[in-house]
Amino acid sequence: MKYLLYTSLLFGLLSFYSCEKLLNVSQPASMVDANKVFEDNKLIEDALMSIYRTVDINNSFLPYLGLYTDEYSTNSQLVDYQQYLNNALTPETSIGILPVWRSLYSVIYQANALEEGITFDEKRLSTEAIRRQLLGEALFLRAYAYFMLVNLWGDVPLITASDVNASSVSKRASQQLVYDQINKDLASAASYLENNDSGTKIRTGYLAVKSLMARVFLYQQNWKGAKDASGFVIEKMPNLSQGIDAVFQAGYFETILELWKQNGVSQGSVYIPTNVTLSPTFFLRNELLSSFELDDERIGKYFTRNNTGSYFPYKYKQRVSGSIKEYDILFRLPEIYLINAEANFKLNKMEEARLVLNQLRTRCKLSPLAVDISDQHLFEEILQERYRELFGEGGHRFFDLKRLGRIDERLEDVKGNWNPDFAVFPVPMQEIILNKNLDQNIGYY
Amino acid sequence: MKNFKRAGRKLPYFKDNVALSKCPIHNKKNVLKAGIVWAIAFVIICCVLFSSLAISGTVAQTQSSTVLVGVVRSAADGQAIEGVTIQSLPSGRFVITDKNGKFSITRQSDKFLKISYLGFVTKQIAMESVAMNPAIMLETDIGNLDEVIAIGYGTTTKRLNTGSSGRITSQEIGSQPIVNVMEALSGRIPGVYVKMENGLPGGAISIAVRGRSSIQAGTDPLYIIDGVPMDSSPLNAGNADFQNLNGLISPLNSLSPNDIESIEVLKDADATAIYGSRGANGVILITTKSGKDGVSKLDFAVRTGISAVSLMPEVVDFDTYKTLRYEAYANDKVEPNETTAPDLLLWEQDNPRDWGDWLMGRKAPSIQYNASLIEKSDHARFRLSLSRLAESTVISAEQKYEKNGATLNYELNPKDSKVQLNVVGTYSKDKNNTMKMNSFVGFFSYAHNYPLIDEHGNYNWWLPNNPLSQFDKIARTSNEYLAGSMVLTYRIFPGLQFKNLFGLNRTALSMFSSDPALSNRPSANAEDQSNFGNNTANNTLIEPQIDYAADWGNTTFKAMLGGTWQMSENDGSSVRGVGYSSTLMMESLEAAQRIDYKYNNYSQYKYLSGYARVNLQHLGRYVVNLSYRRDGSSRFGKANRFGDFGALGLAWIFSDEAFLKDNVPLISYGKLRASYGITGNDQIGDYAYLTSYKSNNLYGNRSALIPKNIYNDQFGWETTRKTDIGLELGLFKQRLLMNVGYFHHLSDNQLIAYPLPALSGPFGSYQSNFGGKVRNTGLEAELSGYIVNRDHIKWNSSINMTWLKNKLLSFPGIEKTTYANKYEVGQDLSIVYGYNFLGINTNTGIPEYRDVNKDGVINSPHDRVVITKGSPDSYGGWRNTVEYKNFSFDLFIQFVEKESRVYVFGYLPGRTTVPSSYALKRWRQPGDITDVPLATTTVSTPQYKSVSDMNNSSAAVVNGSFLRGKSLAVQYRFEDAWTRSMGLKQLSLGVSAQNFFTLFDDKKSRRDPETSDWSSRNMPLMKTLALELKVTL
Repeated sequence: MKYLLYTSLLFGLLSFYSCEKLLNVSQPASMVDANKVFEDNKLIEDALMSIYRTVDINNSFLPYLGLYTDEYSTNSQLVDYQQYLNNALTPETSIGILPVWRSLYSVIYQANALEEGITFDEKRLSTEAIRRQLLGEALFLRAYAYFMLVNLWGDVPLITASDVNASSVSKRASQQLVYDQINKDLASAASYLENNDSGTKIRTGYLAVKSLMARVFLYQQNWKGAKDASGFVIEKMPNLSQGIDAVFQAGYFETILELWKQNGVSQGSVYIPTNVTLSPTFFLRNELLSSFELDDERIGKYFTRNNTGSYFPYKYKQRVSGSIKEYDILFRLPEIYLINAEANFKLNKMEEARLVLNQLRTRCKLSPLAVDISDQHLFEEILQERYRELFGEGGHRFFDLKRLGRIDERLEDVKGNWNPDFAVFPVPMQEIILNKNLDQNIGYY
Repeated sequence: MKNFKRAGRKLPYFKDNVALSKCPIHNKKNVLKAGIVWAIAFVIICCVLFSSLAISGTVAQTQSSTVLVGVVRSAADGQAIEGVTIQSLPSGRFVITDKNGKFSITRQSDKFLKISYLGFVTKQIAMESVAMNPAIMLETDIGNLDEVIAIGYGTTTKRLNTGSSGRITSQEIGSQPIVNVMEALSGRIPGVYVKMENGLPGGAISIAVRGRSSIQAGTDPLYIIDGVPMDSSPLNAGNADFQNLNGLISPLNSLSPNDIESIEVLKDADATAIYGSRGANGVILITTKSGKDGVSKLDFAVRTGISAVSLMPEVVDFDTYKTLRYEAYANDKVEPNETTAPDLLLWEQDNPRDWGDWLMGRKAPSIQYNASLIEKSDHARFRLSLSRLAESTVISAEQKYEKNGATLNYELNPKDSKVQLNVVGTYSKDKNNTMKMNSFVGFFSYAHNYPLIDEHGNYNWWLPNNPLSQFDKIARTSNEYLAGSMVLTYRIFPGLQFKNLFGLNRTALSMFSSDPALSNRPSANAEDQSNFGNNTANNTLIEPQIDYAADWGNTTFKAMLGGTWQMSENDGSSVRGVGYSSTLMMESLEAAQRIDYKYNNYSQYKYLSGYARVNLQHLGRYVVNLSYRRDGSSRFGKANRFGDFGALGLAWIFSDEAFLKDNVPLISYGKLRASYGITGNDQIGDYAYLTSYKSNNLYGNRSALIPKNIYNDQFGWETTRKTDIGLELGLFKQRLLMNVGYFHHLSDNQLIAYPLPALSGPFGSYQSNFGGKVRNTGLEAELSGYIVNRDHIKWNSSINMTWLKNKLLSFPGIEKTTYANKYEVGQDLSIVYGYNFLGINTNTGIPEYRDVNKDGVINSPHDRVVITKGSPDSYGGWRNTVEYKNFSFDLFIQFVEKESRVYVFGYLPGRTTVPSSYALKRWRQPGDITDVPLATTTVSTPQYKSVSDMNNSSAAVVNGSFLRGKSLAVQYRFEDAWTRSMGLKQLSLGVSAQNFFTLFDDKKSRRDPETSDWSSRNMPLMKTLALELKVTL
C-alpha cells in the first residue's frame, strides 16, 4: 500500500510535464510585452516617442539630396557621393536611399502598430484626450512618411496595417492612392488634435498638422486648401522675425515642428569642417550662391565660408554638443508664408501674394517687391525665394522642381547629363530581392 | 510532517512572471507558485522517503539470515584483488573486497552475485556455488566488452549498447597537461571534430559532432555534467569590449581535467533521442570521479611544464625583405621616399629584429597541483579533490592563466538499506590576464627594423598598430563556477527504484578591460576608456526518475520513466567609463569623467520534459531499445512549445549464435546494430516569438520604445532524423577489435532568421522555421588490438577514422534571402566564395582571375565562385600504449584532412610586411612561370588591386591537412616493494609532451593549420613538455 502511494505520488509529479505554465518565463526589464505597452498611458507614449526618433532624414539624407539637385557639390571621391552628384544612383547605392526607405517604413510600421493598439480596445486608455492626442500624432507622422516616400519614389507600397505577412509581399499603390491616404490621415489627425497646442515644438500640434496639410495641398494643386491651411497657421503664429541669427536654434518661435536630438546637434556636424583650413565636404553650387542678392542677410548666416574659400551650409551652427541646442526642423513658418504666397498667386490674388512674399524679403533686409511687378516675375520670385530660404531642408528643392515640371530642364542645364527617369529614386535592391511583388522604377536595373 | 508547513511559504526571490502572448494574462503568479509548491513538495517527499527508509532498512537487517564469505583472485596470477564490487542480485546490495580480496555479504532472499572490477570480465554466479567454493577467479578483460558505460539517464555495457557512442576516460585525460578538458577529445572519438581555436591557455575550442546540421541555429552539443546540463555558450559572447586575445571563454574551462572520470559522446538517435530537442548536435556526458573503483587513499601529484609555440611563423630575413621592397618600387616605377618607405630610407638598418621571437618567443612555465583523498567504509565513500593550475603565456609573464578548484563526491549507500545518496559539489575559480585585442600574432610580419618608439619617445605609428602599445590594453576575466547535485535513490523493491536528481550550477564571470588613449594611434581620436562587466548564468534542474528491471527467464526487461524541469537565467551588465586624468586610475569607475555606455541584460529559459525508455534483451543477444521524450521549451511560441522525439535501436550479438560460436572460432564477438530516430535543436535566442517593445534610447528626455519582434507563435524545433548502422567485431579472442559505422543525419525544419523587407518595419528578419534540408553522412571506423600481449609487455594500438560529407539539400526561396550570398543548394554549409585564380600572367606577373560574367571587370559578387569549404573531409587519431615492466608509454597522433585558406598577404613580395620565403618564387621577368605575382607596393598602380585580390581567390586555398603529435606520456612506476618500504602505496614519475610535432603543407605559410586561417591569426597551439610526480599514500 505504501509503495502504491509513493508511486502514484511520483506519477503525479511526472504529470507536470504537460503543464505549459511551467514554461512561463520572466522577461528582461528592457523588453515590454506589446499588450503591456497598450495598457499603460506612459508606455504607449514612449512608443510614440520612438516614431519621432525614427524620422531621421536630416543628417543621413538631406546632404546627398542637395548633391542630387542644384544645391550642393562635393570634391569627395567617395563612390556614393559621386553617384548622387552625377545623378547616377543604382539600386545598390548604400547611403541615403536604403536608410531613408527603411526609416520611413519603420515610421509607418510603428504608426500602424500604435493605431491598431490604441483602437483595438478603446477602454484600455484612461482618457479619451490622451487617446485622441496619441492617435493624432501617429497619423500625422504616417502621413509625413508617405509624403516623403511618394515624392522620392513615386508609386510606393501603401501599408496601413502591422501584419507583416501582408506587408512583406505588398505591391506598389498609385501616387493618387497614397495621397488619398495622406489626406485622410491628415484630416483625422486634424480632428484629433484640433486646437491642441502640445506646448512643445518637438511634438506634433494642430499647427504642424495644418502645415503639412498646406504643403500637401500645394503639391496637389489644391490652391484653395493650401491658402486656407497656410493662412490659418500664419494667423495663429507670431509674425516673422526681424533678424535671422537664431532661426535654427531649438525652440525658436518660427519653428512649428522639430525633432529632438539628444546631443543638441543637427546638420552642423555634417557641414561644418572641423577646422578652418579644411575644405568642406559639401559646398554650395554657384547656381544657388548666385540666386542670392548681394545685400541678403542670409549670406553669412545661412551659409558661410572658411579659409578655403568654399561656401558651406551654415543654417545649423553647432558642430559639436554645446550649450546652444539645435534640433532637426521639419516645419518652420517661412515655408508656410511661401505656400501662402504661391497659393494666392495661383488663385489670382497677386497683391496678396506679393505682400506675403515681401514679408519674407524684409525679414532678410531685402527691398520689397514693387507693386508693378509682372505676374510672371512675381511667380519666379516666389520660387527663387523657396530656393534661397529652404535650401538643404526637407527635400524642398527636389520636390519643387518635380511638382513644377522643371526638373528636366533645370538639371540638364546644371549637370548636363540628366535622365528624366531619375526624377524618382531607385528602389533599394535589398527590398526587391526580398519582395518579389515589388518592381524597380523605370530607368534603373 | 512539520516539513509540509514550508510548502505554503512564498519564496521572495522569484521574479514575477510576465505573460508572453497576446492573450490576456491570467494569474501567472499562481502558475509559478504552483511550480514552486511542486518543487518544494518534491523535496519534502524525498525527505519523507529518506527518513521512512531508515526504518525499513533496520527492519531489513533483522531479517538477515546466513552470511556468505568469499575471496576474489585474478585468474592470470592468482593474486587477491582489492576493491572488487560484489553485488547481490536481484536486490542490488553490494560490498567491496578488502585488501586480501575477501568479502562477506548477507544472503537474504538473493540468489546471485555479480562480481565486477575494472579490467576484468564481470562474472555472475549463483550464491550456492560460492557457498561451496568461496574462491572466485576473475578473467582479465582485454576487450572491455562488459565495461559499464554511461548513456542518457542510465548505463549499459559496450556489449549490449544499441547506440553509437564514444568515450575517453581519466587515463587519456589525466596524462595530458591541458586547461580545458575538451582538448583531450581531439581526434580520439570518431565522429567528433575538435578544433582548437587558439593556443593560449583557456582559449576557445569548438566541437562538432557528426558535422553541422543547422543553417543558422547553434550547433553546440549538449553538455551534461554529472546529470546536470551546462550552458556551453561562451561567457563573454556578444560584447566586443570584453573580447580578448583568448577569444571566447568556454565555461568548460572551469572543470579540472584531473577530476574527470570519463567523457562520453553520444552520437546516434538511439543514444541522443532521450535528450529530445537538444540531442540533434550530439550529447557529451561528463562524469566526475567518484572514487568508485579504488580503495581509501590519498593521491598527490605535481606537474611542472614548459610551453612554447609549436609553430613559429617563418619570414625572410631583412636583406631579402629589402631586396623585394626595392624590386617592388622598380616594378611600380615609383621612387621610394622617406614617407612611403621609411623601412628602407629612414629607420635603422642594423640590428634587425626577430619579431616572432619578440612577440611569442617566450618559454612559458606552468605548474599544476592535484590532491585527492578517497575514503571508503561499508556504507559510504567519499572523494575530495583539490587542484591548482598556474600557467603564463609565451607573450609575457604578466599574462597568465590561473585556476583553483575543489570537488567533493560523496556516496551514502548503507548496507542492506533501500536508500542511496550521491552528492557532488564543485567550486572553481579561474583568472585570466591577457590583452584587449584580437590578434597579436599578426605583428610578426612587421618590418625587421620597425621602430616601436619614435625619436620623441612616443609610440611609433607609421603602421596603424604598434605591438608595444598593445601591452597597455589590459583585459582581465575571472570566472567562478559552482555546481552541486544530489541524487537520491530509493529501491522500492528489487527491480524497481525511484531516484531524483536535484542539480544546480552557476558561473559568474567578471570582466575588466582598459584601453588607454595612448595605446591607440593619434588619428583614432581615442580617449582613455575602461570597461567593467559581469555576467552570471544560473541553472537549476529537478529530475525524478523511475527504473524498473525484471528478469523473465531468457529475457531481461528494463524500463525507465522520468521527467525534467530546468530553468536557466542569465544576468549581466556592463558599463564603460571614459576620460581619465591618469592611466593609473583606469581601474576605477569612479575616476571616469563620464559613463558613455551602459547595458544590462536578463534572460530566462525554462525547459520541461518527460521521457521514457524500454529495453528488452533476449538470450543475451537480441536487444531492442525504444526511447521517447516529450519536450517543452520556453524559446518557442505558445503554439509550438512541445515536441515529441524518439528512437528505436536494435542490436544483434550474432557471435553468440550457435552456428557461429561453434563453427567460426576466429570471431569472438560480433554485433550488428541499427537505429533510427528523431532529435531536435532549440539553440536560438530567448523570447524570439514575443511581440515586444524594447528600449530605443530617448526622445525629448522621455524613453522611447520600439517594436522588437514580430509575433510568431508557430516556430518550433529544428528536427534531425538520424539513421545509424554499425558492425562491431572482436577477433582472435578479442585481441583485435573492429568497429565500423555509417550514419545519415537529415535535418529540416531549419530555424532561421527569415529576412523581411524594410517595408515590414524595423525588424530585418523574424525567427521562423524553414523548409531547408541539411544532410550529414559519414563513415566511422575504429580498429584496435594488442600487437604484443605478453605478461611483461603489452602493446596496444588503436586507430580511428571519420569520413564525412555535409550537404545543403534544399533551401526553397534562397534567392530571396541574404543567405544566397553564403550558401548554395547542393554544396557544403561551410563553402567559401572567391575569385577563381587562373595563375600569374607570364608576361606581366599580374594575377588573373576568371571573369565569370564576362563584363571585363573582376568584381564581387558577380565573379565569385565556390573556391573551398571549411569543414574537414576526414579526421582521426592513432593511439599506441605500451606497458613494459614498470614503464608505460602512451602516444597519440591526430590527423585531419581538409582544405584551408592561407593568408596570402603572408607571402606577397614587396609590401611593407615581411613575407614568408615562398615570396622568393615571385615573377621577375617575362617568361617566368610561377604562382607568386610580381613584387608591388604602391596602392595606385594597376597591379596592386589585382595582387591584393589574391587573398579573396582560390590562390589562397591550400591543402590544410595536418598530422599532429598530440600527446606523448611516459611513466615509470617504482617497484612496489621499494615504495612500501618508503611508507608509500605508490610512486610514479612521468614525462609528457603535448603538440610536439605537426606535419603539414607549410610551403606557403607556416602558420598553425588549426588555429589560423585566411582571416584569423590566432596564437598557434603550444608545445608543452611536462614532468609529473605522483605519490599515493
